[in-house]
Amino acid sequence: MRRLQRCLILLVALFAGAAGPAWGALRIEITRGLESATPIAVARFGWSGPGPASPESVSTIIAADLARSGRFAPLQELPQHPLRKEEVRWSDWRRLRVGSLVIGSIGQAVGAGAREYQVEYRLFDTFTGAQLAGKRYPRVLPDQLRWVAHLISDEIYYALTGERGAFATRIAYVTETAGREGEVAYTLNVADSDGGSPVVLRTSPYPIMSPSWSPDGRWLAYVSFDGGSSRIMMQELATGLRREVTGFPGINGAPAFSPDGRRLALTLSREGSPDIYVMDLESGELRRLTSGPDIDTEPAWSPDGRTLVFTSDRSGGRPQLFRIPASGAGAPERLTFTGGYNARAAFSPDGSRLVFVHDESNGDYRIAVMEIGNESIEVITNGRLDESPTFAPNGRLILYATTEGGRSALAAVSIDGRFRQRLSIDDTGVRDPAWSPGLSRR
Amino acid sequence: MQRGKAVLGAAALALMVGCTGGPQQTSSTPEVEDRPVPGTEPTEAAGGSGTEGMGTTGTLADAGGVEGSPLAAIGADGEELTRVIYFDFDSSEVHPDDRVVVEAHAQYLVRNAGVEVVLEGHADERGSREYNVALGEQRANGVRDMLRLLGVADQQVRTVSYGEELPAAIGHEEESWSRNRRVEFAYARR
Repeated sequence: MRRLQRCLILLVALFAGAAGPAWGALRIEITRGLESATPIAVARFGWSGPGPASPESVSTIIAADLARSGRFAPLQELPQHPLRKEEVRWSDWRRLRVGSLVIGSIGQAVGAGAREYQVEYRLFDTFTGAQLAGKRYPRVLPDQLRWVAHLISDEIYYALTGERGAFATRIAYVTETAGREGEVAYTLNVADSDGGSPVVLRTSPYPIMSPSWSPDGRWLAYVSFDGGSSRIMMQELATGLRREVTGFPGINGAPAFSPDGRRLALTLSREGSPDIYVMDLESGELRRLTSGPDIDTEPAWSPDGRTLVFTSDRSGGRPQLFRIPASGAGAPERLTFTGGYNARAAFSPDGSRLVFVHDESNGDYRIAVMEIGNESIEVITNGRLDESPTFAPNGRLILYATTEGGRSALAAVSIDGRFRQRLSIDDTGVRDPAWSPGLSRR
Repeated sequence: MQRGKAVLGAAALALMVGCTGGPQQTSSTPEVEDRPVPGTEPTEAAGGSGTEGMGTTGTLADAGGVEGSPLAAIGADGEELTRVIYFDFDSSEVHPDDRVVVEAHAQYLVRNAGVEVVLEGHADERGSREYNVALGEQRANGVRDMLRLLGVADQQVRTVSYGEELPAAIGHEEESWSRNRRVEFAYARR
């Protein structure tokens, strides 16, 4: 019976895979921009290699990155596309009040195979003519060009704001697609922060939930329902290697890597009701941090690894956020007192804020931000079914899942709620986003 | 607390069943034997418990129906038992009207010790996903506890919660949500 079951699952998976544009890339639209965004010009990069053009439009990717940050407004129509500093007509840019100009070029790598490129760029202050940043990437494979564009975006962002960018990062998300016969396929995906270079990690006819990044960006933990019961799985991105972390009776859910990557916080209900546990990933040893008949779930590590915030209905009926030392010693401390529903917290990278799902008690589930140590909260989204918030590793944007027009999609919002964008895939439900940590490489 | 109420409710029901024979119990001699509905004999191809309608929202919505079901649970009146019960918002308390349904399943399971049921708990889409998994489990566990109190062996019952991941109705309003807050009975031979 089990064998046939597996065959069936495989068939469904194959069919769903063949059914159409199931694994398309996320399309990003800025739905609310900022007047205060700083004008910048990214000139078309010159192409000095053979053939018509480079395989990726690096300058277009950089301009889109900068726009998606909400802090820059790349010029649409440029008066010139200089390739070298000597070609820049400074007065043109000053007249347009564009203070920053990016120029660059792509060519074949020197002394390398025909399939390798070199990319270089320079960032200028148009008022002084000074170069603020610049670099040459001597050997870039074709499938690394997008990533190099994101690295350049990070460098430009840093040069102009003094803050780290979050462009050369990745996002994990779950998609749901319906095949012709109404059968559903669930897919765990990873893409660049702009939705580019999407990769399928896992497809199943059973639901997939709650992806969580390891701090080195090499592994994802997630919840699988394959075979009709829940399991926490870990998968190595580079190799596809999968391992089962837990598969106890009841709930195996809400995995969260510790900041040092050595432990996994998770939810198990093997003792009767959902409780928070921490597993040592090397020894497999489990330590239970909460107990009692209530629901305790959705653990989130503070960036210093010392405390966990989790969702619990222990205060009577509806969920609120609580904090407990990661050592397990000490009683949970209630953190939220505003509204009837506060759940699924995530820490800001600096540990000063929490972002979570909030219902004021009017039935709209929205994303709210709270400074730790301050009970007042700020609601920053305006949907009815917003959930699963996750911080960009530089703390500037929050990615979350929303429902609009009957379909689930992702959205991003600045921490002050003023800048918004939507990330969607046609005919595909997208949910459960998880923003990677800062990455040194893809 | 909702859970407390559910347990109390289950205990009260068990007491009531113990004293009066239960609301719709027909007689002490079951007239019905364990027999599958024609055309749905459990076979190898039927798949395991909990895989029923898996990944097909439409089929899950009709999980109470006969089509594609691996094993039908037959009530004392010879009719197939209702296989889905529904819950109020944020509640895991079995509705008074549905207690006869749970009771009929209990009778069926007691009569057919070789049969196993998987109780699939579900929640509506509102709120966070993992918390909804917990809510779905509370519902499934509430039904499981009732079955046990009604004499069903522990090994015959397994629970799994899908939270909001497998909605029966895909709308985003109360009509759909009320159909998604549910526990489904999925049968298989042990």
